[in-house]
Amino acid sequence: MSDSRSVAAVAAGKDDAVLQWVTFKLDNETYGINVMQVQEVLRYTEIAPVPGAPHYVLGIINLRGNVVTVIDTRSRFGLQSAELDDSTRIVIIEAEKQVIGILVDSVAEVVYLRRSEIDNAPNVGTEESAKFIQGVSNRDNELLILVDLDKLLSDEEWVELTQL
Amino acid sequence: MSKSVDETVFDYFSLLLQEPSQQSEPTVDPEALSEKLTTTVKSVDVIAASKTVGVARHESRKSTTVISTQTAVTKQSQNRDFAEPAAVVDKLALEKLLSAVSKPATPNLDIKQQIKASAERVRQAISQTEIKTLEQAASDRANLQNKPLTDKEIKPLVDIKTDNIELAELKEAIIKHDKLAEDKAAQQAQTQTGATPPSITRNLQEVLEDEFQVLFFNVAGLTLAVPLVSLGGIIKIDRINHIIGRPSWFKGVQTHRDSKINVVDTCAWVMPEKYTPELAETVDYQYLVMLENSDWGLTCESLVNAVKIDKSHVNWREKPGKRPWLAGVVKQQMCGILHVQALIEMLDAGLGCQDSIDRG
Repeated sequence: MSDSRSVAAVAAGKDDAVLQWVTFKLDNETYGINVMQVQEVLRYTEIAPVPGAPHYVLGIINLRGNVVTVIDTRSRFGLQSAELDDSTRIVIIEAEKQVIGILVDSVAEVVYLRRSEIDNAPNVGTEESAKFIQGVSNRDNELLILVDLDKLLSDEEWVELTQL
Repeated sequence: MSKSVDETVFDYFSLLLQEPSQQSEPTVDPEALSEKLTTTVKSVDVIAASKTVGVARHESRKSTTVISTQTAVTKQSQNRDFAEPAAVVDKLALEKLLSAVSKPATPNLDIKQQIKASAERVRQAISQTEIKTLEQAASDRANLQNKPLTDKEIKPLVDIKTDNIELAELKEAIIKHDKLAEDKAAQQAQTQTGATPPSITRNLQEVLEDEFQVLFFNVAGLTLAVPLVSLGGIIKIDRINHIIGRPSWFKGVQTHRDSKINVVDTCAWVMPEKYTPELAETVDYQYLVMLENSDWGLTCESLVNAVKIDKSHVNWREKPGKRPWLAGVVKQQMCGILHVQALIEMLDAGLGCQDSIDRG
C-alpha cells in the first residue's frame, strides 16, 4: 500500500516538474520567460535602425561580432512606448532556432515554479497577442504572466526576420 | 446408303405424311393410341403445372386436345374404318414429334408469353411491395424522429424472440447513441457559434422567492441590481494585472487569496458606445462585485444598498433578445437587474455586451 503511494507520489512529482523562469517588467506587469531560452541579458546599447524593417523590429545590435535583431516588445504586446532608462535591458533569447533580442523595462529575477502552479490565462482573448500568453501564476500575491517566446512572432514573421 | 441423317429423317416423315391409300399403313389400335395421346398430354400438363404459369391457357389446350382425340376415336368407332382415323392420329402424333425439332407451335409461344407476362407481373408486384416497404420504413423513421426520445417505443422489425436483457441493452445502446449524437451536435453548434446560448431568465425567476434581496451598485452614473442569491461576494479592488491581447472590457486579473479574479470593466462591457476615453478617466472603480461562484468580478464605483423587493416589482424580460444578461428592470429604482448566470456564460465565451449570442 505504502509502495503504491510512494510510486504515485514519484509519478506525480515527475509530472509536476519545477521550471525556472526569468522575470522581467513591462508596463508595471511582471512577465516570465523560460530560462532555457535566455542566453544573456544586456544593458541597453545603441540599436541601429533597419530601413524597411517591420514595425515590431527596433533594429540590430552588434553582439560580439554577431548581428542580432532587437524586437520592440512593447509594440508587440500592444503597449504604449516608454522612455528608456537605466533599468532598460535587452534580453538575448533563442526561439525558433533564431537568436534575437527583446527590449524590456527591467529584468527582475529567476523564479522557480512547479508546473502545477501555472494556470491557464483567461480565455477571452481574440487578438493576435493573446497567443503569447502561455499561462499565469499567482506568486506571493503577485501575478506572473508567462510568455511563450516561440509564439512571439508568427511563422511568416520568423522567416521575415532571417531576411533582414 | 450414303444418305445423311437429315435426309433419312425427311424421307421417313414424308412416308408418314403420305395418304394411307398410297402406302400400306400399319394398323393402329385407336384405343391404345388414345390412351397414349392422353398420357402424353397428361405429362405435358404435369410439366406445365409444375411451372405454375399459364395454367388456364394450357388447360384449355389440354381439353381441346382430349376432345379432338375423343372425337376421332368416336368417329373411328362409328365408321369402323381404321385407315381414316389413323391419318388424323398420325398427323397429331407427327405434330407432337415434330414439335421438338421444328419451330414451336403457337400454344408454346403463348405459354412463353404467359410466362414472361406472369414473370413481369410478379416483378411488378415485388417492386411495388418493396416501394411500399421502403415508404413505410421512411414514414416510420420520420415519425420516430419527430417524437421525443422518451416517447419512442422500440419494436423489433422482425418477430424474433429476444431476451429482455438483450432488448434493454439494445434500447440503452440506442439511447446512448442518440445522446452522444445530440451532445456532438450541441458541441458542434457551440464550436460554430463560439458560445453556448444562455438559458432564458425564467430559470432565475424559478430560483427566486416571491420576495428577494437585491444589491444596487453604481458604475459611471448607471445603477445596476444583482440578486443576492447570485452574488458571490464583494472585494475591494487592489492591483489589477493587465493581460495583453484581451478585449477592452477585460480589465485584467486580480489575485485574491490564492485565486485569480477576472476583472470586468463594467462600464466598458455594459455601455461600450458611451465609454469614451474621457469617461474612462473619470471612472474610479472601488469594488468588485463577484458573480456567483465564478472567477468573474464586475467593477463598480460604489455600493448603494441591499433591499428586499417583490418579484412583481420587476418588469421581467420575456425574451432574451440582444441582452440576455439583463433579467429585467426594477420598476421603483428604474434600474436593470442582472441575470448573472447568463452574464457568466457570456463572459466565459468572451462575448461583449453587444455580441449577439446567435451570431454566425
